Amino acid sequence: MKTFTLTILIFLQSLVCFAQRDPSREILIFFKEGVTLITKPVNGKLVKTATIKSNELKTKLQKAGIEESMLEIAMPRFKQADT
Amino acid sequence: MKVTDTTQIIQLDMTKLFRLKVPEGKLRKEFIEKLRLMPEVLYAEENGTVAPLAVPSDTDYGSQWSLNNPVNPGADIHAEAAWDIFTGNPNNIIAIIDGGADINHEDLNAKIAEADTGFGWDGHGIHVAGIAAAESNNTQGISGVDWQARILAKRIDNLSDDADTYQAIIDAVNFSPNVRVLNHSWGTLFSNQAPGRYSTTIAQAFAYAYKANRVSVAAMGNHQITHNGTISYPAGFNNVIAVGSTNDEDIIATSSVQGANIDIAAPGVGILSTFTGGGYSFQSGTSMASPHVAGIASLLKGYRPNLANDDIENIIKISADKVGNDPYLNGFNNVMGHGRVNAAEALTLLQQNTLNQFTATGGTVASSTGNYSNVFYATSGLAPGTYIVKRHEVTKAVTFPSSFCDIVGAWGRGVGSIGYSVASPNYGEGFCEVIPGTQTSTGATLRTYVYQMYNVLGQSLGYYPTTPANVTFAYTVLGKTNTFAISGPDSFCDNAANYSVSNIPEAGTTINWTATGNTTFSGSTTGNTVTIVNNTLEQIVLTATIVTCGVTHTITKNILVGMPPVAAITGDQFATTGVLYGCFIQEYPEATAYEWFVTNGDATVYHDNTNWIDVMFEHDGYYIIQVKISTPCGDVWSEKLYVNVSEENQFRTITYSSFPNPVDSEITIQKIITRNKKRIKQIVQKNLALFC
Repeated sequence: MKTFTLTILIFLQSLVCFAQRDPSREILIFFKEGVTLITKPVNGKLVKTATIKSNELKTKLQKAGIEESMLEIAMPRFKQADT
Repeated sequence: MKVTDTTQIIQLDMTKLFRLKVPEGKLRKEFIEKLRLMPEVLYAEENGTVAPLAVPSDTDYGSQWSLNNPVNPGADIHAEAAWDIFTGNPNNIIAIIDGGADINHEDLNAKIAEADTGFGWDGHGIHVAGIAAAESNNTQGISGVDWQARILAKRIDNLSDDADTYQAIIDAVNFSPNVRVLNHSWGTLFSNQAPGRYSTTIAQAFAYAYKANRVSVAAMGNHQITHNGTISYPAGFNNVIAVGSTNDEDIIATSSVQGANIDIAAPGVGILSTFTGGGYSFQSGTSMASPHVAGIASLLKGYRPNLANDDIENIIKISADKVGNDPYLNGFNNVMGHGRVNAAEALTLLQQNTLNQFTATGGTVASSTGNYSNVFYATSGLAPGTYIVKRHEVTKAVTFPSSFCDIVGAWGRGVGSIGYSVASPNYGEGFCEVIPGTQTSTGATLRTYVYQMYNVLGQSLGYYPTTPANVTFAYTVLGKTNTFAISGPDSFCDNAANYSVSNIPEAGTTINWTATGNTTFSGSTTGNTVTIVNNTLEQIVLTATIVTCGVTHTITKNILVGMPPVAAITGDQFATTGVLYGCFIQEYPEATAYEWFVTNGDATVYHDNTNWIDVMFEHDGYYIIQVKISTPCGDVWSEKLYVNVSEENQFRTITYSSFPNPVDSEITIQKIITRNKKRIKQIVQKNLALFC
C-alpha cells in the first residue's frame, strides 16, 4: 500500500513538473558575463542556481522586465570537461 | 575542452545558458530584442522542441525496394552489390537521435549497444533504427543497410527543450569513440508547429560532433508543399549531410524539402522497417531517407576506418547516381542534391582507388574584406562574442604526388585544418575547400579563411585561428595511383623475349624503351609492348620511360640473358653406409625440373625432384652425385659431387682447437678430422689477426 501510494505521488509530481514547462513560452539566453552560478540548499538538497552578480546587468534585466527568479539553469548536467 | 581523435575541441561553457520563462501576456520576441542589445548577452533565442520527420503512409510497395528494387531495377541504393564488397564493422555504432528503440524487437535486440528506456513518437525511432542497422541475414524480418554496426538509441522525444537536445547529442558523441555516425530524422519547430526554427544551442551540439570527426546525417523535412523554401534544422546546419527522399522510380518525393542546402537523396517513400509491438511497418518521409545514408556512412567508415567525416560525405556525393527529372549543374541541383545515393559505387570507389590524406601549411592572402562584425563562439584564446573583423581568404596551390593519376576527387577536410569558414556565428570548426574549378590531374588550389580581429576601440587582437602563414590545409585525394611494372620473364636464353608495362592508367600514355648491354629491339621501341633480342650471356637492365597525366615515370627491370653458370652441389664429401645423406644445389633461374643421378654404387633415393636430394648409400666406396636441371633454354648439368662412403665414417669426428689460449693478438685454429681415433687430415690456419 505504501509503495502504491508513493508511486501515485511520484506520478502526480511528475505531471506537475511537466505541466510547469512549456518551451514555447521560454527563451534561452547565454550570458557571457555578469551572471554566476552558486550552490544553495533547496528543500534540503544542494542545487545549482543562477545569480546575477553584476548590479548593472541586474538593473538592465529589471528594466526589461526580467527578475532573477525567472532565470534557471538550462543545462544542469553540463560539464565543460565532457566537451 | 575534450580530446577526441587527437583533436582538442573548444566548446562554449554551457553552464552559462539560462532558461527564461516569459510571463503570461508577454511575447518572447519583446524580451529577445531587449536581451540582444545587452553586451552581457552572447545570444538569446526562442526555446523550442523537435519533432520527427515522417509522414504516414498506407501504400504497400512490397518488401524493401529501397535496398533492391525489383520493379524499377537500379532505383535503389544498390545494397546487394555493396554487401558483396562489405557488410559492416561490428565496432561501429550508429547513434539514432530519435524517439528511442524497442530493445526487445527480434530484429534489433542483438544490435543495441545502449538504448534509453522506452520509446515515443509512435515508434518513429524503431523504424529509423531498423533502416540503418537492423539485424541482417538472420532469416527473419528485414535487413539494415549496415549489417554489423550497433545502435545507440538516444531519446529526444521526451525532452523538454533545446538545451536537453544539446545535452543528448553531446552524450551520444561521448558515449563512445565508436559512435561514428549520428542520424537525425527530426526537425525543430516554432511554437506554432511550423518548421525552420534555427537553434544556436542545438547548432553547437552539431559543431561539437563535427569537430569530434563524427558524421551527422539529417532529414531535409517533408514540408515542401506546405512551407516551400523553408530550411529545416538540423538539416540546415553546416557540416551536416542533408538528405531528401526519393520514391521507387528515383523521383523526389513531393513532400521532400528542396533547396540549396540539400546534399543527397535516398529512398524514403514506402519504406519497410521495424516497428512497435515487435512488428514491421511501411513509413514514408525524409526521416526514412536519412538512415539509409547513415547506414552507408557507417559502411564506409567500417571499410576504411581512417576516413574523416568530410571524406565520407564527399565519397557519398561523388558516388551518387544523377537521377531524377531535373538537370544537374556541376553535379548538383536543389531537388536531389548530388543525386540518389549508391552504396555499391561508394564502396567500389574506395576499393578500386587509393585515398590519401594530406596536410599543407602556410598560405598566401588572395583577398581581404573590409571591416565588419562577426560572432565567434568557440575560438581558442578568444572570449566568445561579436568582434570587428577583417576576413582574409588564404589559398595555397598543392601538387598531388606523381604516383596519382586518374583523380576521382579532391576535397578539403575541416578536421585537421587550422582556418575558418565564412560562417557567422562561427562555432570553431576547421575549414578547408578545394576552390571550384582549380582541380587538375596534378594538383589543386586550396582555400581557408583567417580573421584579423579588433576590439571596440579598434585595437588589433591578432589573427584567428592563426596567421595566414601558419594555416593548415587538410585535404584528401582519391584516385588511381600508378603501380607500373614491367611484365615479362626474369631471364631468357639466347634469342628474344617480349616485355610490356602493366597497369597503364589512362589513354594517351606514352612509353619509350631502352636497354643496356648487347641488347637490340625487334620492332618499335615505343608502345606498351616491345621485343628485345640478345645473344650474350649477361645481366641487362630494361628501362621504360612512361609519360602519363603529364608526369614522367621511369621503371626498370633486371634481366638475365642466356644460360647462367650452375652452382656446385653443396654437401658433405663423407657419408656413412646405410645412413640417410642429403645435399642440395642453389635454385636455378627459370628451372622447370631437377633430375638427380647417383652412380658408382647401389643407393636408395628418397627425394630427388627438387633442388635437394635424400639418399642412402648401400655400401662403401666413392659415389658420384650429379643433377640435371631443365630450363626453357634446355638442360644444364651440375658439376659432379664425389662422396666417400664408408661404414667407418660413422666414427668420423671433426674437432677444432686453437692456441694460444687465452689469445692476445694472433690465433691459430686447427681443424682435425679423425676416424677410428686415427688422425686422417689436418687443416691449419695461422696468423689470424684479431680486431676486437
